[in-house]
Amino acid sequence: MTSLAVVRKFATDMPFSGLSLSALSFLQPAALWALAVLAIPVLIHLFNRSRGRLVKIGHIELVRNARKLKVTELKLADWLLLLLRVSLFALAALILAGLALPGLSSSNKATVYVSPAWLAAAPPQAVAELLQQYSDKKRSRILLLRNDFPALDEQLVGGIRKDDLQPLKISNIWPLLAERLSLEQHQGNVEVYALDNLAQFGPSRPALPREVSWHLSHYATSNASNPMPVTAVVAYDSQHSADAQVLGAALDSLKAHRLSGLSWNLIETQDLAADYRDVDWLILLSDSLAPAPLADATAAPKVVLTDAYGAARRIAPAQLRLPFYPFSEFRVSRTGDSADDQRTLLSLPDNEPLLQQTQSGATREIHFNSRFIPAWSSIAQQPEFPELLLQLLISDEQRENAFAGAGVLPSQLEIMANASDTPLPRRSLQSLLAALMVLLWLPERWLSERKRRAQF
Amino acid sequence: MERFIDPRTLARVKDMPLIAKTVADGFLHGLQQSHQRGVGVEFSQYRQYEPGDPPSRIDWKLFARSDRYFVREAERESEITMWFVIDASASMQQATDAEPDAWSKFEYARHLVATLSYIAQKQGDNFGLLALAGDHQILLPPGNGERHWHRLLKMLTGLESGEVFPDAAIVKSAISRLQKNSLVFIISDFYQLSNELDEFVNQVSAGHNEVVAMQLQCQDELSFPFKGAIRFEDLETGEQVLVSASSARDSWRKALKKHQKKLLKFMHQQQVMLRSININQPMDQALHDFLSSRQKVRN
Repeated sequence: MTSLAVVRKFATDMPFSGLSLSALSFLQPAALWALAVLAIPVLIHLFNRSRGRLVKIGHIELVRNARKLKVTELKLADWLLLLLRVSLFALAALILAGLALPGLSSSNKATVYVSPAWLAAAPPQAVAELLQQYSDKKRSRILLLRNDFPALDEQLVGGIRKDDLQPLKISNIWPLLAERLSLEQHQGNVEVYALDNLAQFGPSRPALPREVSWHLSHYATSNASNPMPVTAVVAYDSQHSADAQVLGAALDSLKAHRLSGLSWNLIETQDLAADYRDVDWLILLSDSLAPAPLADATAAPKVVLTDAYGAARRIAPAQLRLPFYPFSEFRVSRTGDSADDQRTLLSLPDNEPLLQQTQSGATREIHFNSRFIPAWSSIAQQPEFPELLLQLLISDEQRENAFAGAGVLPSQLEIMANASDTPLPRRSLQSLLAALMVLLWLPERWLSERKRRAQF
Repeated sequence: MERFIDPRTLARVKDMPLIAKTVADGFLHGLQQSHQRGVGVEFSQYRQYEPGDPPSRIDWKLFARSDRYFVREAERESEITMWFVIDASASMQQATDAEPDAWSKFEYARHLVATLSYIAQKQGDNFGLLALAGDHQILLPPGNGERHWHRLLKMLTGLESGEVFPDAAIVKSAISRLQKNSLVFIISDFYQLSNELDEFVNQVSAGHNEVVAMQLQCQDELSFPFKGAIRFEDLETGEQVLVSASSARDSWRKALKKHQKKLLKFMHQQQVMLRSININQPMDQALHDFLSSRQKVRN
């Protein structure tokens, strides 16, 4: 049993505290060009440097004994004036640009959603920490994401036993979250605690009706220390060496991210031995049919993936377009239930079967009616091809057990992050800035008048 | 109605002879009742004795004949030559800071000389001009009559101020001319770099002559109305001093007082009459005060 998750923090566990600079935003960022007017007071300062009014007198000796002014004393007033004016203009520009705070910034009203998988996997101290973190904040709620909302909208209290969570196994928290967020007007931040585990997330990512903060935790299950040993043989004939390389790359990726126990051999078809009982997967890349020994059930491997008939049913690359996030679709599209137990795993838009599975004794035989090289099909170019391969080659029950804790792939993380969620309303700071402007304007006028009358 | 003419009004009039005549005639009417007559050799007329006339001037022979007191009056002698010395150094360019159109000390000096020489010409006195700045000097030898006065006006108009007051050594030849039985007006601000003006006054007053020092001051100097940070620049040396006016005011007044005291003491030693004239005050008033004080001194 393996769990080789991509350990990656999706959102840092930064609590949304008070007013931080990063929380500020602009309603009209284009108006920030108005900051260019800051040049005006600076230019005034440069051109209008007060170095004392010049008065020509006949006899300098008369002021010889007077206390000399230092230029710095004059400059101080000048710089102060410059500072005031620059702040005034900056404030004006910020008012134009619409400096705004997140509208619901009161962090003490946070709503915390915890996915059941997280609660099941989290060690007790993590749960205690979570409770501790939100217990002192007034009116913050910690809720469990579950199906029977809102009838069972109970607070998450520390006493939930892990056994109770088993029936709550939820494979897709997107619709749940979207439903909750649209049904209830949430005051304050919404924090979601989930595992970075694929099993929780469904195939598509809806746009949520409001922003949420994600806390994705990675809790390694015991599988991690016990890699599942899988052996594979990739046999190819002389025309299929390119296909073999494509497959090899996919297997590399699988070994790196999913099956650390995977080991495989690349051999040519003429070197095929008779006995494959110890081999889990035999991947046969050849135009000819499977070698005779395979018919013998005693010598057969568990899974055979072959494109032996591919040459006969060549499919032009343009026709082969898999949906972007298709993992689950391989499962749901098992429609063809033919007499000799042949199932179509995946078919093309025109109902031509692409992947067909035949169960013959202990061996599953999967026919791929194309080839892996790019000239034939684009399937190997899809980012999820290793995942597809894995799902084909591993039985459903194996997969459920082995990859429950599998992490979110980097490409999937991106899908989660690039959300088009409705942003929170912003609270404009214009009135505050205007008041500040008036406050600064008064001393500016005073100082400026004083300077004009030269009375300092 | 203002009795005297506002200097700002005069400053707007660009006609120097007109100004001189206007200013002089304005107060000469009441002041010089008989400027042609006085004590002298040439007999002019008899006049009834009036209290206040010196008894020595009563003609006792006529008294014996007529039993009345008569005073002999004669044509006034006009052997006095008036010299007008204008300090044309750069410091004389000082004007009131707040009024850019007002006369500078130098302009004031020019118009003052024009007016004084007009009076002198009216009285039939000889008058000459000496303007000093740097190593060049402009000299008009003494003369009288209206044509001479116009010549003097022409020279005054062409005068320009600049540089510093020259050393006494440079103007030695001119000084010797001033020393002969004359009334010398030295019109200056009496600000000097070392002691060149003192030296000049000293040498001029050494001869057989009477020296009147007319010190021109402007209101700015007297009241120090400046506010704020002021960068004072010396007109002659170009030196700049940056001060805060409010803190410089006291020391300025102290320095000015000291300067005046020293100047007065020096002039006193030289037996020179010192008149301080505020150029922002009406010129006719200053002249009136000056002339009436001279009359008091004479009588």
